[in-house]
Amino acid sequence: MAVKRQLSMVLDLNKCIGCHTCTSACKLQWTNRNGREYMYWNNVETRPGTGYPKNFHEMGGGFDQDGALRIGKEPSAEDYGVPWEYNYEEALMTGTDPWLRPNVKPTWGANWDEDEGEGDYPNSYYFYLPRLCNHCENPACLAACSRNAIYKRQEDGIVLIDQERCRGYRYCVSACPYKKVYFNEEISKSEKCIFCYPRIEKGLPTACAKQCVGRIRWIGYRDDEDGPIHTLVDKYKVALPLYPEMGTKPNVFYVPPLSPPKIDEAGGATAESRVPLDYLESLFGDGVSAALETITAERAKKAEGGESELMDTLIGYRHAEMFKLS
Amino acid sequence: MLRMKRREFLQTSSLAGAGVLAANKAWSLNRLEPIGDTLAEEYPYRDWEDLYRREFTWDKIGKAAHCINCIGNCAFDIYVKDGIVIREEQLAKYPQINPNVPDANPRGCQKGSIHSAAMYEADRLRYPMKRVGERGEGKWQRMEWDDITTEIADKVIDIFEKYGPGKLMTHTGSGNQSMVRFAAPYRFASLVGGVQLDIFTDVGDLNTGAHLAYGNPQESFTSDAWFDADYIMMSLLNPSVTRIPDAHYLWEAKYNGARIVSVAPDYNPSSIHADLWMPIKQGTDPFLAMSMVNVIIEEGLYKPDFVKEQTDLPVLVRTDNGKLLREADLVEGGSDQNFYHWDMNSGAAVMLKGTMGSEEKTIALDGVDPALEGTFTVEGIEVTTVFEKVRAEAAQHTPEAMADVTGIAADTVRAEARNFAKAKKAILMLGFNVGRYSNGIYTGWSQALMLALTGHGGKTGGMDTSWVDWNHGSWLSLALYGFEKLPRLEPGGLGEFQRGHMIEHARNYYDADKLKERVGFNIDEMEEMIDQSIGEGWMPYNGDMKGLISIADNKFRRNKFVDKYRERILEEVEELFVDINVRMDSTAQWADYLLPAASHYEAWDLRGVGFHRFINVFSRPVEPIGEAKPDWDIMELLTRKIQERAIARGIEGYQDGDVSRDLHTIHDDFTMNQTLLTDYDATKWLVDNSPEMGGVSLEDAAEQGFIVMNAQGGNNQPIPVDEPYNPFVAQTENKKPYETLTGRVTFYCDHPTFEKLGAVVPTARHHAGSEASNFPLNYYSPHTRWGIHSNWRSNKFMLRLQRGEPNIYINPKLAAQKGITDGSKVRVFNSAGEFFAQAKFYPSLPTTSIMMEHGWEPHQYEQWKPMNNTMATLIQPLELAGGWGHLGFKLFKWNANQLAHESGVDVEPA
Repeated sequence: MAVKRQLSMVLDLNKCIGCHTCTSACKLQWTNRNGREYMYWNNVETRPGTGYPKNFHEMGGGFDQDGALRIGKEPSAEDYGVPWEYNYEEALMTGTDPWLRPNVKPTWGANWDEDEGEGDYPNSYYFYLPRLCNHCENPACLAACSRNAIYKRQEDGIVLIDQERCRGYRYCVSACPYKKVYFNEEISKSEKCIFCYPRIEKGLPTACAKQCVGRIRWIGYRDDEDGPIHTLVDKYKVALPLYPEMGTKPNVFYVPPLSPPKIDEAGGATAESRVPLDYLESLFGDGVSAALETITAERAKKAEGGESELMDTLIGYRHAEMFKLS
Repeated sequence: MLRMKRREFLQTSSLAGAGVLAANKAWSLNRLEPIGDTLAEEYPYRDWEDLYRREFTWDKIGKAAHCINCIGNCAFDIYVKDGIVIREEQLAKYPQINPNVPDANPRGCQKGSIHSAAMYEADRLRYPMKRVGERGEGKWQRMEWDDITTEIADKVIDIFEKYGPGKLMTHTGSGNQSMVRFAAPYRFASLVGGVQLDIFTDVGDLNTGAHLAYGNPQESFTSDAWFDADYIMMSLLNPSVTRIPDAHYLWEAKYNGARIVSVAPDYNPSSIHADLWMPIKQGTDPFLAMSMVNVIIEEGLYKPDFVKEQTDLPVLVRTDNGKLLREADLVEGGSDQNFYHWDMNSGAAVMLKGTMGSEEKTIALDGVDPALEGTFTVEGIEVTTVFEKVRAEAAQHTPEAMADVTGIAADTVRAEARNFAKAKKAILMLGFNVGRYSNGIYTGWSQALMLALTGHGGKTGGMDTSWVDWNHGSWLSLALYGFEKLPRLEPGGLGEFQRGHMIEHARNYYDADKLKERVGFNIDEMEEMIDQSIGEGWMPYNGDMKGLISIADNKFRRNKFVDKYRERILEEVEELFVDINVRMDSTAQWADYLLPAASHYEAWDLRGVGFHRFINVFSRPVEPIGEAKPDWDIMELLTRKIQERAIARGIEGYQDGDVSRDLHTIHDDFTMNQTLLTDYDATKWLVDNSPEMGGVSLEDAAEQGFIVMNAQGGNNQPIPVDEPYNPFVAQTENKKPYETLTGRVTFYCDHPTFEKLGAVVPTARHHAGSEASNFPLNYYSPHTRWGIHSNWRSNKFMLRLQRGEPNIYINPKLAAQKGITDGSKVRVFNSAGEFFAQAKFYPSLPTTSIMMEHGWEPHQYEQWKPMNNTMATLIQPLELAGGWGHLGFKLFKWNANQLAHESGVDVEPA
């Protein structure tokens, strides 16, 4: 590990209910102002789906097999979704507009394909994938910055864009395979999730994690062997990075989702899970199958009245203890 | 060198163009250095980091929750800077009740987390305003508070003068759920005798099947009590969407070993995490429940000990007339509320203890072993048991026979019935949508039967009715003027149906024969049963009104046949329509007078209603925006003006039945003789006078942000200090009678309406749906994750995460048949109305249904044509029953719902 210590987050997709409280918390904490209005440093997308920004995974970026940086495509404003404004005053207060509506015809948004997924009724399937900057061990944004304005803080591994030094070249935007760097046109600089370092420095978890009502997020240091990250990522190996093949080594990990069985033509339950394993592996790599098996086995222990450190960790009995910031 | 001098260099470079060039050159050279520079070494220029640190600063933090009709009730810290709320964040400091149960933190949702943005939106009402154009025209004139309340006061007095008491509706909608904001208008209504509808049934939230069975639909689980269940089945409920702060307990219970089953027509956001999703055909829930009852009885999975003690299943029924055997049948002058078991020990009929007619308040059997099966003769009258009747009815609902009806394979139903029956603690969760189906009463009742047969009650499970009613005696006393004078309380669904002349529209919409086949009655028969209920006094109805003071209610959004309803109501309340509201909703737009109310962060208050034991405190973090006032202060001012004007006009009390409506002292009465003048006074009074709050001071409570209710907060039984709250433990463990006719969980009702509709025992009926209409598609409107009814539904932060405008959900295959593409505009229509919306593809919906989440403001639709115009509605006559034990008008417990899912529609590209 390049930095002295690395903060990390695990998100359990089995507990994510797609409520967007994380997105809303982040929005008001950081991105409802100052040219950031269109950005979602944290977003929640329905998978399978296009993701946010639209089809970001097809835009390239990251590193190739040999570790060489790949500059990908920069998303368009449309790919992010235009933050519509509304005629509240005219429609409701002065009676000069006939009804309340957005200022442009909505054709795309950050959560446009919510709950859509894939498959035919009754065997359709979907789940939620919240995303933020991965604060990668090998950040493509950092590698791509021709100003050397992007750095990892040695004390916690948070990846930041120096807002004084950035000149808005946007190589970072193109290079990030997760499209989690955003260009702020108002100030001609790039901005991104800062892992809420002003909160972390006060001993508080990120807004997205603290305010997550599904209690799906754990925060801790990678090197803390008594912490939740180690338990989930290293010990039980149930938390996996998104698109590991992009070569950036994310520090955000996901517990992949179980799913109920498919239904046969007579309306009966089959033995087959709805979400295809292939699809989950296309997101989280080869570790999915083992992770799901481990979760299923540990859950069975609990159902039989036994003990399970893994289940107890995933249950998260005390909210405050889901975050280990020292 | 660079590290030492960069800052200094930047300062000089801003002064000299040459310096900029030099700087660029220096850094472009640096680009050739290995990237490890900023990756592996301490970055030298970190002073800029203060930029974001400065954005995480504030002047003060206040406390609040959100006073709205969701029952989440979540404590928030409110961050204030320069007098403006800049953001909010969950407090997340609730104590853990038990180390083996996850704590309640952080609670909250995305709506609460953006309210600080919504509260400053341009749709907020900031000033008192009077209509100067036609109603609904949108022409307003600002007025001073003194002047506007004086004008309203005179009009209120005019209505009393012209028509006497009882012609003023003072309805508080479901938007005011915190204690003070609720109490203020209710106290006003109590003093003037205003009409107040039941806010459960006016939106169809009442689980009448639960009341029928248990005598109390509001005795339910705190959400942490889900955690130790080993079996949970949810029907008509999508908690990942509608119980956002609580849903974690469900998925944590799953990790704790529970089996979670979702029963829903669409593969919804809660189904995705379940162990099994049953894709039930919309509205067939009672058929599924009855088929599970069939398995439980036929396979002998029931628990006789529990059944004999806790239920009426061993109660004797006459075979000659199908009536319960009553004391009055056997003894001259005997009670009609006393009933009998056949005691197998003594071989004789013995009277039950614990019934409404009994002096003994216990359901303990005390040595009696009641027969569940058989036919007996009691003083020449042949009798059998309720169990025999129930078994005969269930026999008609085998899983095999029901598979075509429900769409669920018989094997799956049998397997699930067995899983459910063997569970140590099983919970059947029902959402509020159960009240919006005409057959919801059958769903609730038959699920209660599933639970009772298998011994799931108290600590071993039961029905989660999505509401827990806590014991806040002082709050009710404040709201209802010490119970000395009351509002004219009225059934919600029935009141709206009658006053809105909805029967005419229902008659035009439904096909009479098809309707009768589906639901068991036609419109004419329904009308007869409505007239009978009102005529017999089973349900009160106060007739036409002359004036309306509407508080926190969006009646022109939520009612069915809505535009016709609005026209009728506006015609009726021609003389006065005052709307007290925080924002310009689709009801406020039609008012004569608008009084701007303070929002969640602008008033002192308390909130007890919730799925947990915490009373959250609102500490008025900022002053009300514009000239808005807290609801308490608005009512204080309005009563002051009414009193002043009444005295000036020489008016004293109006006799109104047993009480007098004393307009000349109404301010003294409202304020407890000038002691409760403000929101703070009322809040403090509640804290000081509510034993369940444990004697805490308001100052300390406001500092902490919440109060933990003590044992006295329980209604049916004390709240256990260190355990989650399970319903009806007093009944299962202490043998306290249920609040039902027989004192037991009830599965036999010989009320004439139940007899007429063939529903003396739990059974299954269809809802009306598309098959009772001439339109091919079913249509349902569940709650949305993006709003609480119409609250936050038009908020731009929420809309940007949706489609930006009202949308329907449609299966892509149905869309293809209809020539509809994703994102295109469609017209949804039936003979009741039409509306336009955007089509959103949802493959998890059957091709036979259109789904549209409810709550969109009518003013968000193209041409202002709302979805509720296409929503036909009915009244379920069973819910009008009265004069029978626990059946009779009871606020929040027993009266008829307004139904929402009873229509069929068609859809086409537009």
